[in-house]
Formats: sequence, structure tokens, C-alpha cells
Amino acid sequence: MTRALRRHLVAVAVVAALASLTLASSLSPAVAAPARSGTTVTAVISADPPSLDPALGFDPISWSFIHASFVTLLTFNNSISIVPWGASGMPSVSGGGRVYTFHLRRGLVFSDGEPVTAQDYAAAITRILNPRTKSLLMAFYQIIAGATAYSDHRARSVSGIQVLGADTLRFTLVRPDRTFLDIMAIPNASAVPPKVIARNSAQFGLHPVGDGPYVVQSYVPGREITLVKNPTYFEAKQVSVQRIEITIGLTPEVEALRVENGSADVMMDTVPTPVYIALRTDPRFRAYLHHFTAIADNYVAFNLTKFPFTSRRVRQAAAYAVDDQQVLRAISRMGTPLTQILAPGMPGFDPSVEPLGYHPERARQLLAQAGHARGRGLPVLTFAVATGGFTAGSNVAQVVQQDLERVGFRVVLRVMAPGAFLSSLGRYPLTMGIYGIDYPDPYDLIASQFACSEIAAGNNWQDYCNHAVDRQLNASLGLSLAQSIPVYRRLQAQIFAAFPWIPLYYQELWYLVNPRIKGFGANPIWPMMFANWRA
Amino acid sequence: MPGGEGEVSRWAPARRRRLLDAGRVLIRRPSGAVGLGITVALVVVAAAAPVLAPHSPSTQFTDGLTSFGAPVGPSRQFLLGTDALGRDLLSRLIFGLRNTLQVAVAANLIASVIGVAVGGIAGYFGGWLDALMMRLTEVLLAVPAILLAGFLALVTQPSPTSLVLIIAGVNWYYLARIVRGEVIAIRVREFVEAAVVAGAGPWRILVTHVLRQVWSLVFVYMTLQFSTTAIFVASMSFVGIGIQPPTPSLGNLIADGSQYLTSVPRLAIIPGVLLAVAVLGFNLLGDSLRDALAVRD
Repeated sequence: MTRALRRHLVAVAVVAALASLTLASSLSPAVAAPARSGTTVTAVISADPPSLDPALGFDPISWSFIHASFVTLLTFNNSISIVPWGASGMPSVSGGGRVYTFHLRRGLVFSDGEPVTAQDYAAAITRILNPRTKSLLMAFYQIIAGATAYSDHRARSVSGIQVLGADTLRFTLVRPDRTFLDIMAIPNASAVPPKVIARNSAQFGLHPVGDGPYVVQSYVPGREITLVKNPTYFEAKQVSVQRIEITIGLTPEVEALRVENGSADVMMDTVPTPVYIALRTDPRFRAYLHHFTAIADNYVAFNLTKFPFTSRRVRQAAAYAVDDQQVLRAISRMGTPLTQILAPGMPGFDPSVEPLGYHPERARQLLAQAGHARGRGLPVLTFAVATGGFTAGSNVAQVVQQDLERVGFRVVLRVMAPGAFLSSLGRYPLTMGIYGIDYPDPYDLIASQFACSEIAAGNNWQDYCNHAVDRQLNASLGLSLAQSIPVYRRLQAQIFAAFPWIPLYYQELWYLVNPRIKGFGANPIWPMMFANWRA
Repeated sequence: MPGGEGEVSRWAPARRRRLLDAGRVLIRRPSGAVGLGITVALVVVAAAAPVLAPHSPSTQFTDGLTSFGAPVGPSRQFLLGTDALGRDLLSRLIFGLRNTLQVAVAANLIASVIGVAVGGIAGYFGGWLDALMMRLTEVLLAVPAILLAGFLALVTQPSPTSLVLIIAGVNWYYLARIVRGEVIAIRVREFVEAAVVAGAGPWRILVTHVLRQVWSLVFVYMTLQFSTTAIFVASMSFVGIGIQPPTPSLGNLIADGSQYLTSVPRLAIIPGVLLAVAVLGFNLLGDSLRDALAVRD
């Protein structure tokens, strides 16, 4: 369930309290002076980051904070290329692609003054693999030799992690795997101070001690987080903003009003559709809006094991029945039609692939050919949708519902809280789905959503299973990214030909930022790059 | 013969006269007339929704949204404009009112039947049955109704029927306590003792003699409770556990509209005002009924 739970963590609670009506209406969205002068930036966010502990945080917001306060050996730059950060260069690869050797750069120091060593990186990965940590990331790092034995308590250490000196670290994998560099670049692979962890591992997320650009000066869950610049960070001179004060617990609508009236600089949640409608045409806020296309798929998953979606014809009919333009209008055109599994921005995305299109007559014909003319013999289909930002929400679901009913399906919506939604996966014939990348390799998007093993893991929401596809996916890991792209393009075409989804859209994410804040370039993997901000 | 059919028939004209007097008092009071007017108007609109609504409440019109996906404003085609999915807001309001009232009325009736039954039995028979029923009622009273209803709604498949049963299930306690108190007072009155002497069975006495004395109280309570139940239905829909989309209700119309408060405020304000007017109407009617019946009693 790791990545399914991650989707839960990504969710933004957007059910507004009635009280907010009064509050929101009383605030005038007039452009005002910035909240703070100098190098203090104020931000607002609707909910706490799930965890600031590198072993536990596994969602874009947690990653934003962890990336601000810890240093990984590698990282992703804004064009999502892997670059060295805590390492002095890219690792040397040997042993037929199984052995990776890293050298640390000089001058890495934790904010408590302790020097950072290779042992601290080894300890961080070992901690993730320790079942007592209850890390959602454990499966990622079990590609390291001996990791499974360690996690199963059959070994006292991870044989594939070798500390060769204070600044040299070697990882040996069970098989060649190109994506190992990706999982060493996500913020979870950050060095952690063993002494601090030994004192209080459980509370590390509330009082993290890292070596990154910022120190978490205070964190009061549900109320505020204050980050201050870390003077011991090895590139401290490049960090401009001295202090970032983040208020927690506002609805996105109120967050937007705070930024509009100048009492906050940055809205850390994405701008909701209704607010976007108001701001889009307002010239006062043109300079406030920043956007990028999320590397994520939004779709409706058929349950391929449940009647009537065991029939490819019926799935095809449903896919043709949905008006993609009406779907886009329901999200105020904050997106583009989904054409393939590999989203724009992901290596391997093929811009020449056309959207499936809206063909209601063809849909009716296909239904008739499947023996269900005008919906004859079809059961009432339950369509599971999660509330809030967890999936596209009930608005898009209602568009899909109406379009399906126009060609003969009978559909009832089941709108659920994210927890109930996740526990219902596999129960309903239709599920509103979203999948965002963990790391920018095509393998992640395709394998996570379509490998047979991911059904039990709770990520393959359509219960698609094709062992031939699985074999090609596994074989692709030993190829370079460039070599593997034709394989992935072929595989996604093969998977799409089975119509496992009603494709919906790739969402454009909008952020509201006071123009006095420069350098706000949202990273496609974690949205906030605090260290790049300038005020 | 006391307690016999002859007595009931002699009482009937008196009760009719009392009702007529109460009706006159109600209409003469401005608040009563306003409450009655609002309630009747809302009930008529709700009952005639299929005739009055200019469009289907669920149809998403392609010309109901701008090319950019924003709701369109009031026009000849859409008198109150459209909502976020291009549906006619007026039609959704009319059907939303109908759906909310249907659930509120049904839930209120069921809650009243349960409340009268529990309160009547506990109050008339007393003893261990009274103790058991009232302790159960007190336990349930200790749990916030909206939380209990929310929990029940989450663990059951949401449907109008389940919603009615859930709301009824968490709304009968107060009436049960009130009816019990009244019944305890009535059961020692002479006409009840006369019925016992005449050989009437306890159930017959309870139903035909005792509960008959509390009907005005129950009627007033039900009228006042309509407003509470309507808000309850709206609250459950507001937090997403009530009437499910695309079926409109005042609660989910307010919830959906509240997100558009800064861009299209009418989406929240119009259903909010309608709910407020409905609650006001029920409250005025209930208050005036209570006063009118109390005068006669």
C-alpha cells in the first residue's frame, strides 16, 4: 500500500467549514503591501506536512521541507535531471551496473555542528529498511543486496551497503537497476545524525536536525513552521531568504485571500479552480500566478475483473463516451487531455499521440456489439470518488457520470473521504484515479500502475495484469534511459489498447505568489524549492 | 359510559372547535401568518418541482459554462445562472429544496413516531422498562447527534432511505423525554383511572386516552423540529455524507457554492438564503402554533 498511502498523503482537505463563508466574504481581495520586508517570507498551507523525518515523509509537501533541511548525495534540478549535491560528483558504476560508489563533498556539517560522514548516509538508508521505522519507502531500497534479509531480521546489517571511509560509500544491488540513482536523489536518502536519532527517533520529525539550507527552528503541528537559514550549510551564501514563516490550517480559499491582501507571500497549496476563475482575468494578480504541468495522470480506472468491464468492448465504449472537452471545462481548462501513461515532462512522452476523443455514437455501437444496446443487461455501476484534492473530485466525476449515462450506462457516485476511498480500492467497477511520479523515470509511471505485483500493493487500481508486460518492464531496468524509451512507448501503447482507463487529463498546477518573491520555480517532483527563493 | 365510544364522539366537536380557535389565533399573529405563508409556499414549490423547474437539475448544458469553464450568469435561459458544471441553478435550487424537505419531513415523522412510542411506553408503564428506556436515551443524548449521524453515514451505503433512517435515529431522544414527562402527569388523572375501572387494557388506555392528550405538544415539537432537521440534512450534505451528487440538496449546493464565494458568490448565497428563509418559516410557524395551542389549553 506504500504508494497508495502516499496518494492519501498528497491529498489536500478542501471541505470548507460554513464559518469560512463569513470569514472569506469579510476579506477584501485588494492588493496590499507585502507581508514582510527584507528577507523574511510568509507562507500559508492548509495542512501539516505528513512528516519532516526523511525516513517517513513521502509526499510532495513533506519532500519540500525535507529537501530544505537535509542534503542527499544526488538531487533533481528544476529540469528533473539528476545532479550531484552531497556527493562530489556522479557515482562510479561498476560490476555490470550493480555497484555504485559515491564520494562525499567536503564541508558537509549537521546544524548541531557534527560533521556529516558516509556512515550517516548508510545509517539513513539502513533506518528506512528497519521494519521498526515503519517507513513507506522500504520497498524502494530493497534493490540493495542484503536489504531484504536485514528487513526480515535474517541479517544484522545490510550487506550491500559498505562504508569505505569517512567520505566513500558503496552500494551493491541485487541486479542492475537504472532507477537506483533516482531513489538516491529523492529526499528520503538524506543523511541523518545517528546520535540525534538514537536519542529520540520517534520525535525526529518534529525536531529534525539536518545539513540542508534551512533549519526547522520551530514546528507547532496545526499552527506554524518556522524555517531559518542554516549558516553551516555548505552553499549558505547562495541562500537568500533568512527566515520562512509558514502558517498551517487555512482553507485554500482563505490562503488565496491572504496572499491577495498581502498578509502572506506564498500560497503553498495549489490554487483551487474557483479561485483561479476569479484571478485569471484580474490584471492585478497576473504577476502572482505561477504554473506548471504536474507529471501525473488523471483518469477513471475500470476494474478489469468486474462485470461489465471484463469486456474490452464495454471499456472502449465507456472511454469513447466521455467528452474530454467538457471534462476540461469542469476544471476551468487547468489541464490538457491525457493521451498516454507517460505524462508531459516525463522522458518518453510522445507529443504525437492524439487524444482518444469524444465519440458517443461509436460508444453506443460498441455497447450494442457487446450485447448491451441502450444499456440492456448492465448493472448499476458504482463510481468511487475521493473528496478533496485527492482525486479530481466530484465535479469531474459528475461530468463522466452524465456522459456514461447518455450512452446507456447507469452510474451512481460514491463520494468518500480519502481513508474510506483507499480502503475501498478494488471493490467498485469505476474509480477516479490520479498518479503522480515518485521519480522522473518512465518505469515509475508504467510499472507502478500496471505491474501485476502492484495490484496487491494497492497501486494498480484497474487490476491490470499482463505477465508479458511485466517481463519487459523488468528487463528494461538494465537498459539506459535512452535505450528503454522505445520499450516504454511500445508498452504504453499495448496497455492503452486494452482500454484500462477512461483517460482524463494532465493537470496544470497554479500557485499564488507575491511578485516580491523571486526564484519561485516549482520543481515537478516537490513543489517548493525554498532555497531558491529570493525576497 | 366514560372512556367509551360515546364519549369520544362527544369530544370530537370540542376538539374541532379548539383546532379552529387555534388556527384563528395563529393567522391573526403576524409571525404566525408569515411562518405559515413561507411554509406553505416552500411546500408548494417542493411538491410542484417537476412542473416549476425550467430544466432537469442534473443536465450539464454545454452552453452553461463559458469557453473557459466558468459558470454563466443569469439570462433568459438560466434565470439564476448556472453552477460550476453548467447546470441550471434555479432548477437545482427547486429540486434541492424538494430533496431536503423530503428527507427532513420523512426523518422527522419517523423520529416523532419513535419518540412518542418510547416516551409513552416509558412514562405509562414506568418501573424497570422506564428506567431501561430512559438510561438508553440518556446515553444516546450524551453523543453529539451530528457525529453519531456522520459515523452511521460513513459505515452505511449512502441513499435517501438510509439518510432518513439515520437522521430519524438520532433525533427522537428529546421528544421521548418530553412525552414521557407528560404521560407520567396524565396517567394519574381521573379519566385514566376511570378507564382502568371500566376494564380497558393498558395499551388501549395508552393509545386512545393518554397519547391523545399529548398530540398538540407533539405537533408543535414536530413543527419546530422541522427547521432543526432541515439544517441537519443540509449539514450532512455540506460535509459530503448526506444526499450524494449529482442529486441536489440545499446543503451540497451551499458546500459547492462556498468554494466559489470570491468568484461567483451567488452559488453560495442564493441556496444559503433559501435555507435561512425555510428555517425562519418553520420556526415562526412552530412558535406561533405553540402559543396558539397553549392559549386554548
